[in-house]
Amino acid sequence: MRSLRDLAKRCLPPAVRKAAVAVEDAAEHRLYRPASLALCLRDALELGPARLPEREEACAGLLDWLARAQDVWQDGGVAGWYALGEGWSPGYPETTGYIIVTLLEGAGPLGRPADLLRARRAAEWEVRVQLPDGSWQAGFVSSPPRPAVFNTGQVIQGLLAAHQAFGDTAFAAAAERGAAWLVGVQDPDGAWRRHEYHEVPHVYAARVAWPLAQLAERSGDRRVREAARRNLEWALRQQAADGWFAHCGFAPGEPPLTHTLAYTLEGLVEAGVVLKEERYLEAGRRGADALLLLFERRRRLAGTYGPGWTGDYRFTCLTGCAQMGRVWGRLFELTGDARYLNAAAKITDQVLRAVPWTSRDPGLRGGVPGSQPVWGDYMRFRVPNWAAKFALDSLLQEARALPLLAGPPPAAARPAPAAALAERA
Amino acid sequence: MKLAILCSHPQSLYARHILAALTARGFRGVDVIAAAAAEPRSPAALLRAHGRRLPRAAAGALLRRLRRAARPAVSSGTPSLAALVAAQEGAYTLVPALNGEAARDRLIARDVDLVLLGGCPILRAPVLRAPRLGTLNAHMGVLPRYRGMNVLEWALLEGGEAGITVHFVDPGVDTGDIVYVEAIPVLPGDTIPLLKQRAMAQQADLLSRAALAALDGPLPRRPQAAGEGRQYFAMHPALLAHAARRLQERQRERPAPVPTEARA
Repeated sequence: MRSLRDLAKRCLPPAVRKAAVAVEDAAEHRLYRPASLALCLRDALELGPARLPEREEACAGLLDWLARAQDVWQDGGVAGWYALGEGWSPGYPETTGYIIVTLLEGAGPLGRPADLLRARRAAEWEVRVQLPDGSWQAGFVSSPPRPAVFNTGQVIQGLLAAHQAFGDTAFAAAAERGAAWLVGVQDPDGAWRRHEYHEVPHVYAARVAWPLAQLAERSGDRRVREAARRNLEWALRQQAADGWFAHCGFAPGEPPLTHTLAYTLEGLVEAGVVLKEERYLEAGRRGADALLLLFERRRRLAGTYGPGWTGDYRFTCLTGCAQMGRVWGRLFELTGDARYLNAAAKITDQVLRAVPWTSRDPGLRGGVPGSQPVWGDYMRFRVPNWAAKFALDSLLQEARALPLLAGPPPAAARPAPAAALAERA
Repeated sequence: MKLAILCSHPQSLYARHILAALTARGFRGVDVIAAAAAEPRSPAALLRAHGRRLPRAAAGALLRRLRRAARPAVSSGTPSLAALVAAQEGAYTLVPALNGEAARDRLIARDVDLVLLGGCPILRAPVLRAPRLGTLNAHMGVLPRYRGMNVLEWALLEGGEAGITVHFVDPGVDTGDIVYVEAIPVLPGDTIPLLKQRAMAQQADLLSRAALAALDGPLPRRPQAAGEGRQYFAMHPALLAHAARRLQERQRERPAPVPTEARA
């Protein structure tokens, strides 16, 4: 099948090539199945759902999907994704890690106490699958265990939240072992290269610095705090004047997905709040502002952005869109500028329109595809668990932020970031 | 002085307001240049134009048609905009696009001195360069603070001043030199739609006053500094609901007196 695709790319005219690839996709991903076919047709015709669900309804649908993803393997881990052709993947430690945070944050406001138990089961699973050196592995739990920096950072965040919620010291101890490992493999310039994807540094590791900063804040561990700061300082050096980031794509020379840009921005903003460092917050804000302008002018975000914010609009990275909903919502909380909340609400609507809420396939129903169209270049024909997580994060952030509008009108002048940090951290 | 109104709808209600305000101040011979409604295209032409977005484009076109049918610009007994223009001895011209050569050439051919915008997209430099004195717009927001879209709603949400700004139009978004700023009074019982409806008449009146003042000499111009203002975008319904609540709160306060003179 792969050789057929290669042959098609080389020899056939474009229209015939497209048709050949479509046939191959249909076979490989079993797109002839009614639910998958319906999703593809919907994306081909750019049709949304008949009705956008209410926010609470959307949260329930997303959480139900995550519950199904966790229940697949019965060990507490959350399946990494649902693939149209292959079904549920094995459990994915990295994303199960930060899903714990979402389950805990949403359980109370959404009236779902059972999600607390789900979060606990996931945290216990993470402790079980931690590698002997303190790291967590790349890829699925079924993959050959290779330590991974980014993945370890995300699990640390989940275990910190679990320790805070349940008080179980095993969670904190596992997180501290993970943090010690991260400090040990960090390069002197603050970047991580060893045990990073493709063994190159990524600026989106700012989302590793964030949980390290959180851990240091609780434990007082100066080494961990300094490791976080070193990485964030390295990240600042990768930012261009227009707010874009180098070293943000997965592979060298690859333009970053909206997903990895959003990881970077979220890491900088949140670490800036934890460390009370205005420069990190401003760097995150600069990137977020650039994306906001692009979103408002084009009414959608591109799948990837190269230097100068040159966008590839052939697909939308839904995961990144959901993440930006959360980042912009958070910036509204920190600055009082309601334009952020406005953009967040609009992009959240877009993400929710892409969800097959009424699909008969339980792997699709309530899940957020990686891309729109579903054959886009990110998580092609897959429904990743982290997309649902980030969609929930943006909804929970919106629910926290909207009531702030009912208070005294936001200050007409843009408050100084330092003041915002002092007030809202 | 030769005036022309540019509008993006052949029967624009706002252009009618402006024309009426000008006529009331004694102007005659005002031209109107309107963008023609799109001609129906063959299915093949539509498919070429929209490709796989055709269903969405068709749905959007149908929705716009239904909305126009629900809120007609004119009732059946009202004269057409062309008839109103002719009645005051102006010329009514339909062009394919306001940013096109036809619009620009018409302005030049008619020797237009001052253009007033009656609801238009962002105009490009070739059209803006055509009138001798420039192009004026009445923006439903206080500049430079509130640029862009839904600015009345944004002002209500943020507790800012609701007002109208007459400004010269440059290629930027609401960045041209400011001529007048006038507050929009908030009256008991106002809703946002009512407020906007009344503000439209106020915009037309303020534009006509600016046109009258232009007869006497150069208009006052206050440039907007780079980075001075903020750009706003279409408001999400969740925020619109909050803006409506803020309007109700504002009505419970003592209403601001109606200004007797627009400030420059």
